[in-house]
Amino acid sequence: MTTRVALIGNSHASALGAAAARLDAAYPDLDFSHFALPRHGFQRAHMDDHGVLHADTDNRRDEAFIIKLNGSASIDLTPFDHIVVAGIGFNRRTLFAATEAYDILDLTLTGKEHTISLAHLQTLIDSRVRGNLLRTLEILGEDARITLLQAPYETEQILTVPDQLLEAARHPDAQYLMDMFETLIKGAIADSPYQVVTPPHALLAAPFLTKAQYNRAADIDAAQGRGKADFTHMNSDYGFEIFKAFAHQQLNLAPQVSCDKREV
Amino acid sequence: MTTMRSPYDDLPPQAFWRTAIVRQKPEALAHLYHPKFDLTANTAIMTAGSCFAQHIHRSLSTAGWHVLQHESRADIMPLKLAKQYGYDVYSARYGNIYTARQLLQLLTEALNDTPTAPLIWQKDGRYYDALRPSIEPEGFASRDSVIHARQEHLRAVRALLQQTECIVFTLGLTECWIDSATGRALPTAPGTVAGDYDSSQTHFHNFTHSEVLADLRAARDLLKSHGLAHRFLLTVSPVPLTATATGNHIGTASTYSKSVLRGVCGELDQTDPDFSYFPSYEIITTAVAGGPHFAKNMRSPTPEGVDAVLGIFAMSHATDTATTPPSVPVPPTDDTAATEEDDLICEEALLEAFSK
Repeated sequence: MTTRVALIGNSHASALGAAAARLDAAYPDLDFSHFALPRHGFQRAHMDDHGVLHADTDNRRDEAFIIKLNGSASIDLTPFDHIVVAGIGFNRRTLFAATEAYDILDLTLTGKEHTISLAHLQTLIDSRVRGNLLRTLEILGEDARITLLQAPYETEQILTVPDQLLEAARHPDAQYLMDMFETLIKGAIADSPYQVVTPPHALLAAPFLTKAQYNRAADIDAAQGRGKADFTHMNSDYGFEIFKAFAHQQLNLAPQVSCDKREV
Repeated sequence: MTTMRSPYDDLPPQAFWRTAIVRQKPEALAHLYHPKFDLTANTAIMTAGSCFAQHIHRSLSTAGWHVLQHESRADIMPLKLAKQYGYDVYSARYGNIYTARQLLQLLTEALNDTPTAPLIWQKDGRYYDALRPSIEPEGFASRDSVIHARQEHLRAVRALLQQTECIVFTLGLTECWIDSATGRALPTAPGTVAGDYDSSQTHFHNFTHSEVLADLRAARDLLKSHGLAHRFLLTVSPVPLTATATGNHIGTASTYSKSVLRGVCGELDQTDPDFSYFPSYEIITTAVAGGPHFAKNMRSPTPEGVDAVLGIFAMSHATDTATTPPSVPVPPTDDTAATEEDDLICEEALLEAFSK
């Protein structure tokens, strides 16, 4: 019996979309449907009383774009056994901003002028994680079929440009901070009907940094002239790996064929 | 026939209960407070004091007065949560300062070039700054963190004092617990927020009129000795005591405290050019401005009462700042606050993956 899986999300659904053919081949018992919304997606969507998710657009350009992506501006989620939602950030920028602005008392100090206690930081991040989750719940509703994929951490190339995340990534206790963040996410999810998949650590080069090989730009032909820096979005390899983590965790399924994308 | 003359004959309406209180003539209300020195919307104000001072800090800040804010919360901190950690409650994160002695201690420590060893309490394996135990509800993991945080705090207070022109200080209590070894006044008894009460280490003291007077003058003198010619605008918290350790009834104990504090303010207001008294105590607790303005618990001032305090304050200083639009803190940023560039990048990624 085929299990129907909806792969939906914001722009981070692009990694899953790029891996679509490989997912079909590796999971023949799963029937996938893709649906993505641009920008911050589900902040501009609503679920109707019949379980249909509609994109809310305020202009024709957006609507045309969404239809071009998905063939429709809405998706009926009722037939699916599982709904995988990609790209939930859980307000991680708050952690990066705090690490940039403050030394964290009770962790290694780095000489910053201002401090924040670790207990305060944890409470702050917990409130922001739960706030983000609450907004998702408001839009998608309480639905045990839903698994949230935590948005990927930026790829390590971001170390070459100024960014808020640098202080967190370079913090002497970066691993502790990332573990704390993911623990808070899992704690918040445990209080909700959802499940969550955090980025498998095998995909990371270092705490808060995804390996360079998963950067979307790695899939783009430089000759196309589309070399604009984008360290946020991942490629098909990442899409495949993050789905594999979901399938293992939630469905107890392993891919049935070699995952090498050259074979697809 | 001899015409009798009385010294009350030519007094204005605000001098009489019937015209000032019973008839509530607005012109009488305007005379409730006579500022001894000018305060403008540009005067740099530092707020401190007991719980009621939180109302004053918030109201003055919202109304557009130049209330200084050091150790301010970052935009990433939701306001409600930040306040639980002592941010933006007063001009710095010193927590409630109930007594004149506490204020004097804080100024002394902040202006002292040699750091004083902090008083540290423990609870459940966590460490607390005994002089402001509430600003970290869960405490710190180590004594070193308490010391580091206190030093940072004192630097902030010192910087605050360098900027301040007027200290708005709300006196709350005369009752106090003293650390016996160091003589330092504590904001709360050990065992309340953290720590453990031991009568051999902590003793109770109820400050007298002369002690409070001396502490406030000492605070002013200390600032002057550092070249800081601050003026003090004193108020007395109208909030009654929650509990007394004197052995007396809470009612009489509360009246003693408030009477002493109000008496000190009166004396300083009359005799010292650096001190002025603003009657928020009378506005909330008596009928002078349509009160008393207490909520049902008969302790908390009502919002109308707090508004009356600020209104009379603004009116007396002949400023229109009360009508100035509130300076609302910037809401915290979150992941939904995308820039246009982010949008474009997102669209590009999607187009690439889903292009059919």
